[in-house]
Amino acid sequence: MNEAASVTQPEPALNTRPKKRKVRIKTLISLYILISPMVILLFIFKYIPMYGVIIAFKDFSVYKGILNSDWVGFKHFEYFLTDDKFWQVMRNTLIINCYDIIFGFTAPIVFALLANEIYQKTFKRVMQTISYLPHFLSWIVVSGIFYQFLSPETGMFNRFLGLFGFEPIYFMTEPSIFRGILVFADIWKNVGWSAILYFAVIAGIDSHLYDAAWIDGAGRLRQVFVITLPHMMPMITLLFLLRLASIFGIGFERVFLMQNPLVYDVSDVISTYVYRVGLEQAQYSLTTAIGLMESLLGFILLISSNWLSKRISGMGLY
Amino acid sequence: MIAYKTPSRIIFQTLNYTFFIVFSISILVPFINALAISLSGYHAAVAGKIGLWPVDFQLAAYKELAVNKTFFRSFLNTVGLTVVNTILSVTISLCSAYALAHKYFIGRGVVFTYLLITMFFSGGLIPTYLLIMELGLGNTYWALILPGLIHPTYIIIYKNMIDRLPKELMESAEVDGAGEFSLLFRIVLPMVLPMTMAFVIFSAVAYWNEWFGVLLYIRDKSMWTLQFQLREILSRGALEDQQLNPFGETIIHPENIKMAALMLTILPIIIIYPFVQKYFIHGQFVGAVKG
Repeated sequence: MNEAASVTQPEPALNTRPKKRKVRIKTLISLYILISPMVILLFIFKYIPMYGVIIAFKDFSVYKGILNSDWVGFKHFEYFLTDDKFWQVMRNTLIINCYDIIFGFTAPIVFALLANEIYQKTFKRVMQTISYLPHFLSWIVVSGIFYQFLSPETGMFNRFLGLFGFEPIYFMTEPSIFRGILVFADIWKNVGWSAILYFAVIAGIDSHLYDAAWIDGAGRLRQVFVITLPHMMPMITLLFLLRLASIFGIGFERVFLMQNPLVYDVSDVISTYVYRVGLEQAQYSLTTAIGLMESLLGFILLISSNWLSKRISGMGLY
Repeated sequence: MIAYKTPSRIIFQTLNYTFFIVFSISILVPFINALAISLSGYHAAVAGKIGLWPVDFQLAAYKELAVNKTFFRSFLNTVGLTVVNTILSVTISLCSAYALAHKYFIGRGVVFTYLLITMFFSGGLIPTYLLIMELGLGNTYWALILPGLIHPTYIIIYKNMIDRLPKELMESAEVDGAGEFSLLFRIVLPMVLPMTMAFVIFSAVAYWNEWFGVLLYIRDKSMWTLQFQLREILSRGALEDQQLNPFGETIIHPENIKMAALMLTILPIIIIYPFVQKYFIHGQFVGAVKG
């Protein structure tokens, strides 16, 4: 490390040494003061809860506390693995995630490619500005907007459909379309923002490549497939890996704030289930066990997809 | 760029522009509709025929919110928490990164690993909840401040930037006898100011939108944040202590009050948005490349 190297460096004059060491110790103390809030806060609010995970193997009781509650081994794991409700929630999580990957993950890529074909500068800038906006609004606001706009009685969208003779559709309470609404809401809120990264990649591609391809007779569509997409691949792979690792964890806020009792059966995911059963019914040990399993699976997925990506494409997260 | 003028190209361009126009409309129209509802009268809201323009224009819903103590209180809470949390989290990030990047710092590897581990592992919702309750932070503002102050990505980005600053700059200041704190705030901070602006804005937006902590830890209605208050208004269709008519009904239609509250909640973000957009994009890009 640097410190070792700098200590052995010859000093300009011998008599300045004790003074220098004193300054160095003083500096070190200041540095430790500067970094101490981070170290302490992480210890209390991140590391102690990691230790608290042991309640997954205990029967946690509020009166006995974390340390004195009784050990029960894998009882809670056995319980939820044989529970029908858990498997329903697991199924929902995987289905919504698959939709999210098929539609939500590809949407920003397509968005960036299509927006790249707009040559009208002002139009492009205004459109992009509009597209980022919903990203900065909370899911509470987005859910409020969706419930209002898609309302069967007063919603503007259903009145618009009515002009063409359609009956009002109960978008937010119809189990067969609610998952679609969830996926759509996520795309609506985040597609423009997520596309920024791809815009940056596309902007970095050498324009001579396109000129050369054009001279070789490649049309615009072919250029996209032989030049633009290959250049985007490293970024796509990286983001895909990150996305895959979170396949068991769905953003809590989106589902929790959009769902309502009529669609619990199709929309309850692990995180909302952990919240409702864990905190509202005070099943602390059971839901900690579920949370632990979720993060273990996520970690294994991250490691293995990284390994796979390195084998196939030579690129990985680390 | 070479221009193409084949028939299929022209068809594609037309469809492409149409797509983006429809997309932009799909974002703008629901908000304009919400604004129109918030400015409309009771009977228009009952009829449910409000489009993009207010029917029977009035500001009654906004007036109701402005004089409502609970709503005003949650507005103040949110402003306070946003300011405190943003200042603390960005300051802590900068201080930590400066220490980690300093050539005299001993234990860099250990502290860095200590920080990185928290990005990949967490105790999860329930153990964190139990800890905060056990510490006696339940129903205090501390529960909304302390647990989320550390942003590992900010620290890593800051450290990378400080590493790349010219060494001569720091050394000359050191020779002048400047202490670490003045070095940090007089020399380093001005050099990383654009990134700091991006972090401040990101944090401010995130804290402005914060509600989950309130749901978990706060029982007292006077400590609610604006977003949580909005969630309550959206689900109840009324304010906590709203004026009622002699029949026990609210004077303002639930739809009006809901959309007015929603508009007031997003107003600050809409106002600052045009001015800070470049920082958002700067931050998103650097964060992805370095984080």
